[in-house]
Amino acid sequence: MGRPSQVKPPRAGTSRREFFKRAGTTTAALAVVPMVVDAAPPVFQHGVASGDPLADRVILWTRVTLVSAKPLVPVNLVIATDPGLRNIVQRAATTTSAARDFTVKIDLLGLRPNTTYYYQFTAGGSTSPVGRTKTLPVGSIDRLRMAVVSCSNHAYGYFNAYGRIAARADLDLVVHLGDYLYEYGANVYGTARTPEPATEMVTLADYRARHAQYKRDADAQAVHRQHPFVAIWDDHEITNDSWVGGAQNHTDATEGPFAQRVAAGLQAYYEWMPVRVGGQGVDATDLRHNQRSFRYGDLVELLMLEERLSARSKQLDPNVATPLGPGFTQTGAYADPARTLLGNAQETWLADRLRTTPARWKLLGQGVMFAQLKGVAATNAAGGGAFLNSDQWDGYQPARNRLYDVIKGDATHARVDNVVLLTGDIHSSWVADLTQDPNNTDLASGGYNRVTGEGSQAVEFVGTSVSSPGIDTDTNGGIAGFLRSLNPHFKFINLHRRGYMLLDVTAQRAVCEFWFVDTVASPSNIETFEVAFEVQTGANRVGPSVQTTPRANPPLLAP
Amino acid sequence: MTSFKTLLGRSLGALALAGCALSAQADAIDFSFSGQLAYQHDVVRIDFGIQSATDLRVWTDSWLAGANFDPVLALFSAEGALLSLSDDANNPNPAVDAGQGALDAGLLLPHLAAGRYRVTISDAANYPNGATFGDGFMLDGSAPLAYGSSGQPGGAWSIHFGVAQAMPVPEPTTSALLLAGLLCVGFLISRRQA
Repeated sequence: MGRPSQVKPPRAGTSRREFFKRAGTTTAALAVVPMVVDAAPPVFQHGVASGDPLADRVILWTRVTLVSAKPLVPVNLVIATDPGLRNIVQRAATTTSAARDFTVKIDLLGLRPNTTYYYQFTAGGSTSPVGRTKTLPVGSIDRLRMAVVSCSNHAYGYFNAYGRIAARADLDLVVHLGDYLYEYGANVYGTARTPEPATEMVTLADYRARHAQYKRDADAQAVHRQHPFVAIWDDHEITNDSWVGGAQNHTDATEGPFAQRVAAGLQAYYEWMPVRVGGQGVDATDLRHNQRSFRYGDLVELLMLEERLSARSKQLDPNVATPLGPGFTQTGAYADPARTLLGNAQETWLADRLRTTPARWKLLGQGVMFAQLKGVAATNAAGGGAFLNSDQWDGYQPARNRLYDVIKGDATHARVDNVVLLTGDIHSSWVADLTQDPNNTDLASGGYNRVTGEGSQAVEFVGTSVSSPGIDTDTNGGIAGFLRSLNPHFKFINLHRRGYMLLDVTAQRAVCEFWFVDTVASPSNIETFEVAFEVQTGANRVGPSVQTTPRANPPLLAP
Repeated sequence: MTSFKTLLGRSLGALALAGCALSAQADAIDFSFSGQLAYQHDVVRIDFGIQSATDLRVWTDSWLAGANFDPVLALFSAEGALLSLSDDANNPNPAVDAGQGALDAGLLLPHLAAGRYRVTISDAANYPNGATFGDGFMLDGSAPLAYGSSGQPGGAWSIHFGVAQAMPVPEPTTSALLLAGLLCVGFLISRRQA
């Protein structure tokens, strides 16, 4: 088991020689030795990341790029309370290998709650950029501040929203609601940047290469370096409009069994994302079940839901025309209570968490819009009208009603107040009161008052995409206005801007600010505050708000 | 563990081998010792303590272009947590000590806190299994493969420690005491079998 060549430190002689051996050592290769040596790729070219913080632990992630003659590569880690890494509080070491695509994921235990840490990996003769992360607090907490993002399409544009979030030093965490990466090949969905590989990702090698490309993006690296992520997937992490047994953008005959594709996509996902598997994280016995919860002291319980691969029933086809294209009524199979988004086990888990958490606010991080979105308005008594998108909760109305039942309470369960849904998926910004019968103005029969918000059971903030396109032609808000005229529970709709949500939660209220970037066609540092809405504790309906004040003297950003 | 031998720190001068160099300067202490492993699944453990925070350098140079086994170094906390791991130059550290000579593996631990630690030397085929010493090593329970037998490298190992003190110590005469106080070492070779 000896090594193939002598090592002469400190020069990188070993790796150079091994590189040429592996590259098929020839005189042609040797002829370019000096140039290649100078061009040795950076070991940490995919940056660092942290995620799934708990009060005493956090996942720390990196990936090493090096040529090793040995199967295992040692990787060392230090974590400190200062950005200069003088006050080191822990060290750890592990190995990585081709079996995990040379990614590194360490679940570092024994940390202090509500504490900002700085960390750095060492491998392959190099040190990584210094990362910054923060543990969750315990006990009585006065404020949570976090960014909420979704739908980051590398091919479609630049991740300027990530860059702006990275510059905010006072955030506790970043929530990614899915569509972290996209499966398409070149020029299929976006032409700003060419995807790697240039074909649709189907195999494990494809998924790994695409993750690697996203992790080489400068803004993605910046936001991961500065903040812990709590991420769930939506459909594009595997393929478009996926459900438990297939997807719109999957063909068994040419792309193999769907389960095999899911397994490949999830293996790469867990290798490349700072997501905890096992323990208090994702169910290690079934990696499709990535729902999990995060307690932010007595203030917030953040419940991240899985809505694609665990149990979702197949999307149904349109059954009626609307002025905005094909739609559907809540009839036939749409009324089948056996159809599900979450599956029985997750529904039970969610109901239990909502009913029993001692936290004031229950934030549900989830993929698809919960609020009703109609193209033809009608009260439930008159048939409910026609809905537009069967991939959203609208296509799973009986399942949605079950969650409403939990929120509203019953003879044996108290009502669950202060539920706030955080949603991505549709590349546009929406603020909604959540009601089961939004077009019915009669409160006594379960209706809703669009002026006062009475009848609303909870609220939903839908964040726009980081880069994926919305209805970018709706710059005058014409379509948005038409939708609001049919759907009185929406207080804000913007279909054409990219950006992120900033959620600021205190015991008294939860404020959602909408921040938009000026473009994704090129790198840009320009962002603007668009609007803010809030929900007061116990109100369960949205109202206008104002921009919140950043925390004073936040911990230093990582250098 | 069917056989092992323990060498106490105070007897190092007699037992640790000719190469054992002890030098104490105003701001650093370096020393070395070495030995012989019989089998590929053997693991050398060196337990030591540090009285105050320091920069610790540990490296090995015994591979000798394949004359001996290819060594891996690991550092564990008193509780057994794996703190640092090294196999070859550049994995992870390109250099550990200005006077290191050949570097077959090196640990570099700036600002290492006071406490008790364990360094292990094992064959590169015999990495630690997991995040703790208790997780064992990869060749635990494997059939013994004797170093020096036909086609096998030798079992000689050597290791060097460098300790930089946080505070310079002006009196040279205190160096012996300093060694005893700063870093007390014992080592143990364990032959791990299932």
